[in-house]
Amino acid sequence: MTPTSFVLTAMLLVPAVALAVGAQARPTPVLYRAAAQPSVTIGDGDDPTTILDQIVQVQRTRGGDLLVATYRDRFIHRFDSRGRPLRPIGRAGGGRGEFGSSPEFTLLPGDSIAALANGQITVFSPAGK
Amino acid sequence: MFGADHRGYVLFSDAPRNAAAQIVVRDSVEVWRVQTTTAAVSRAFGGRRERLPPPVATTRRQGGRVTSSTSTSVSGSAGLRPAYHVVSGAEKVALVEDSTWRVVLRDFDGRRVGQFTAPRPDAARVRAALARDGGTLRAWRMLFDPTGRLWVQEPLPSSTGQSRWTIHSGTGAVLGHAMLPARINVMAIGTDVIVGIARDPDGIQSVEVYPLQPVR
Repeated sequence: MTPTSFVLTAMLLVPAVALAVGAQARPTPVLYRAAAQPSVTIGDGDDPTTILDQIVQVQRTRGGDLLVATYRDRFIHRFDSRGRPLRPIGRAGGGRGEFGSSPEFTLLPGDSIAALANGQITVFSPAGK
Repeated sequence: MFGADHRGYVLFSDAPRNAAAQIVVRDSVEVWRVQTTTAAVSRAFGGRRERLPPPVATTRRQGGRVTSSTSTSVSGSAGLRPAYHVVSGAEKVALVEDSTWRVVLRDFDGRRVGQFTAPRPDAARVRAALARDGGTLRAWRMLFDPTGRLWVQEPLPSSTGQSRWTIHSGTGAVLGHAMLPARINVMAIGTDVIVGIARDPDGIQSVEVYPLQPVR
């Protein structure tokens, strides 16, 4: 390598390396912070109708309702966006819309609810029917 | 966990109950509950449906087909292993490998769309933090937000009461971080709130919703 080509190469490489190092050193930004305190708390013991035990699953519908499944209950708890209890989805039993074991569930398009229990999937309307 | 994205693609993950399989299916709901090993189900990833055990539950619409599957394992080793090995959302699936901590992102046709390596938990640091704080470690966790970004929790507890999450794009690039309460197991990330499960010193569980504020 001639002295001239060495200088030219260095002139090209040094800024490139500096840019790369600068890019790596730049800290990634904090994009979000959660509030320090919850805006809604459900099942903290103040209200016996909302006691939850052995929670398995929590989902939030696009409308803001909260659905909660537990190991213990053979229905899906449902709360509005402010944490007030709504009519549960399903109930214990072996018939239509009833669960023989504690269900797991998923939200389908339009907030319909597909619930799995005892190897069967039951699809409920967004209103839980 | 039994989950779906907003267009009806469904992923079944059974981490709390151990040893199960998840199947992602286009235009259908299919559920396999198989007691098998991680390796056995992992081999089936991207494979033919006939190689899999019969599903225990199926509802299917026209055009339904298996596009990917993987397995999950115990969730009890808090902080040292992922709580869920696979999550879905926004037409993507993210799978983490225990051995390498590599997270692979696939679309619902099974194509790889990105990957990255998650921070590997350091067992010594985890134990030291446990001894120092005396608290409960939260299981390593990742979740999709509604826009298809993947949020990955850092495995160590924070002494500040917050846990740091790294937000990845749908192709795995790091976009930034989020600081969320360390006292909850985050179960869902919305556009303006997060939802998690808290447990008080008496073991009473509660569901908590926290407003999520963008940092400007």
